[in-house]
Amino acid sequence: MPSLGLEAIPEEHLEAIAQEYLEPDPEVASPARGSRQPEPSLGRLGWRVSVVIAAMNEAENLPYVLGRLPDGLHELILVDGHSVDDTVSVAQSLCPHVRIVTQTGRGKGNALADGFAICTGDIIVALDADGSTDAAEIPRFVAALTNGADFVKGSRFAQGGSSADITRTRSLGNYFLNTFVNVLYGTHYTDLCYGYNAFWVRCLPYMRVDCDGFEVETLINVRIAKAGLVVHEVPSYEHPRLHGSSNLHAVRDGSRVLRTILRERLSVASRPSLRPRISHRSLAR
Amino acid sequence: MKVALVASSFVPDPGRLERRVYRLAHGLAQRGVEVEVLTHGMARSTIHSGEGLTVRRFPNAAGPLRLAIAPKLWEHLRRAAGRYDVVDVHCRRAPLALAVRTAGVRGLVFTPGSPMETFLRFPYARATGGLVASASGIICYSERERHLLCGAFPAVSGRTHVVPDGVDAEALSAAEPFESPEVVVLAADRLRRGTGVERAIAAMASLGSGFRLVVLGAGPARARLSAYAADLRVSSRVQFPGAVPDPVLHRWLRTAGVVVSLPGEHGSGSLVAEARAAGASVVASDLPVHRDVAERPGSGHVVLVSPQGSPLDVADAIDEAAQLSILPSAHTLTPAESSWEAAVDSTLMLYRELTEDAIRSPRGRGAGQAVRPSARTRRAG
Repeated sequence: MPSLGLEAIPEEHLEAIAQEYLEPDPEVASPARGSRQPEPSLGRLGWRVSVVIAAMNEAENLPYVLGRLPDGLHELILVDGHSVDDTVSVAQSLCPHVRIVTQTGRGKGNALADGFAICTGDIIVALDADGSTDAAEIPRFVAALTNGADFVKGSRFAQGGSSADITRTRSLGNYFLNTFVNVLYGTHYTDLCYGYNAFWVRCLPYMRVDCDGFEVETLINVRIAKAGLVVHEVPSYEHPRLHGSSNLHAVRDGSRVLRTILRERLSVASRPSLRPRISHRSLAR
Repeated sequence: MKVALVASSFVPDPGRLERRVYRLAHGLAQRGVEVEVLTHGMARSTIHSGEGLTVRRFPNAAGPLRLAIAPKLWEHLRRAAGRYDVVDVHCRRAPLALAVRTAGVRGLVFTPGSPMETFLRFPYARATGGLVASASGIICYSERERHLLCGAFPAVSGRTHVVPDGVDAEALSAAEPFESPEVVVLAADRLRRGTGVERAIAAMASLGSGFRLVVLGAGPARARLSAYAADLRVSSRVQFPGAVPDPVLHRWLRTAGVVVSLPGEHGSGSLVAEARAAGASVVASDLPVHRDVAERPGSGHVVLVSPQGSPLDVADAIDEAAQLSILPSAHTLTPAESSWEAAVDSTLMLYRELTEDAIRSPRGRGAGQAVRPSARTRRAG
């Protein structure tokens, strides 16, 4: 299989990407991929931002994901989930300074835990590798952190956010699980299962990522709430997956999420009499 | 002069109210006042005399229920009302004081033992209005409490006095610190909802191994707090010695590098005052009562944090306070501005005024005057 580094992408394809990124159609109602103005550089903010991307067989999507990364990042960590395609070589060709780590176990949760463990920055941003999360939104997340949040969640359902990828079934499941968590934990989350989050590295002891699968976002959100950290939500647009198929199974992973919610709730320490107060605020665009 | 101090509970039960009544009773007895403490006990009525004062305990338990006032205590007051020149009621809820009022005592003094907001919110506001109307004097713990009460019931401003809790500076200076290689972060409160101890525990997760949290006190939330510490993987650095007597508390205050007082809504300020007198740095919720204490002269630094702030903010504040506590100026004990002796003297002076007024006017000063809540309180109710 040929390398899918930038040099291997056909020229007409690159032109199409450039056109899509740089010349947005103002008449398009929903934001097209890369149609927004580039966000400001992170270098001015003075914080070291580490980006963690968990990827498994995402070689075809990485050029889009990495191409949208803002300037001024401290480090990029790609956690490879034992890919059988050229995910690693594509990442290395696109970003020579990328830190590649092969995950020790299986699943997204394990991959993120491995990635978080080697971060050296002040802020960690977790992105999906399938191109659905727009890396150009990172400065907005960082701005929310520097404005007082401990943990910033991307939300497809907050005012200003939306999704071109989510199915009706997954949307319903997300709504149900979201409501369930809000009732049980007294939170005001609008999007429980979205994988676009940013947080101060000091939040890691409160997360203790110790699960394997797609329930990792729920686990993090619930534990952050239990710890009483200040959570802000930032509207985010979810693009459709570019290539390949998702590893997410609505029923299987939904039930794992539900089990996680209940398990965390049933622990003695999370009873309401102990639950710290949480302040939530959605940041308008 | 014969004084009855009616208290909802008394030492050895832990708590600020209990400590205050104990200090007051002993201080008055030392000044030659005949003092009786009338309080609640568990099983049967008991009388204990010693050190110049008498403690009468009356059972207030009726099966699983705890009555606001023990029937026998009320009966005792009704029969012995004429024997006491002053009856000072220390309680955390209005019903006990209301019941004492109906016993027909003279020289009724009301000392609210919990934050004034408790007495001014529904459904207690009306009862508090009736109570302060008939009280000859009201003693508040702080100027802010007085301000709140007088704001709700302007007619009582002439009868409302402020006697803050004292600080036992001598005992503090004599207390021997414990040996501790780590910086001790001390929290001392009843372990129940709203005291903010969980925020101190959560802060430990982002503090280094050079910090150890000691939580003094007992209460219904202890098991959950312990589980919370385990959940955050900090139980090896969080210690729960339980409720301790004053001498041990003083030793911990002398040991602590940082004392935390992080209630979300209402605080007393007494722990902050004691910690400052012991020379420890303090991290406290940014509440008016804590600001009042922080502004008083003293040696201990006070770092204020938002009552709703995140554990990371608390951790930063503890770190900052720990740095301040190792400065050369720290841990140099300074005499407390208000000692328990001064608190007892102020209270005794007030009792004497009331007694003299009662002689001049049999109904006492202000007693029986109609008191209407202000418009703001009526709306709140």
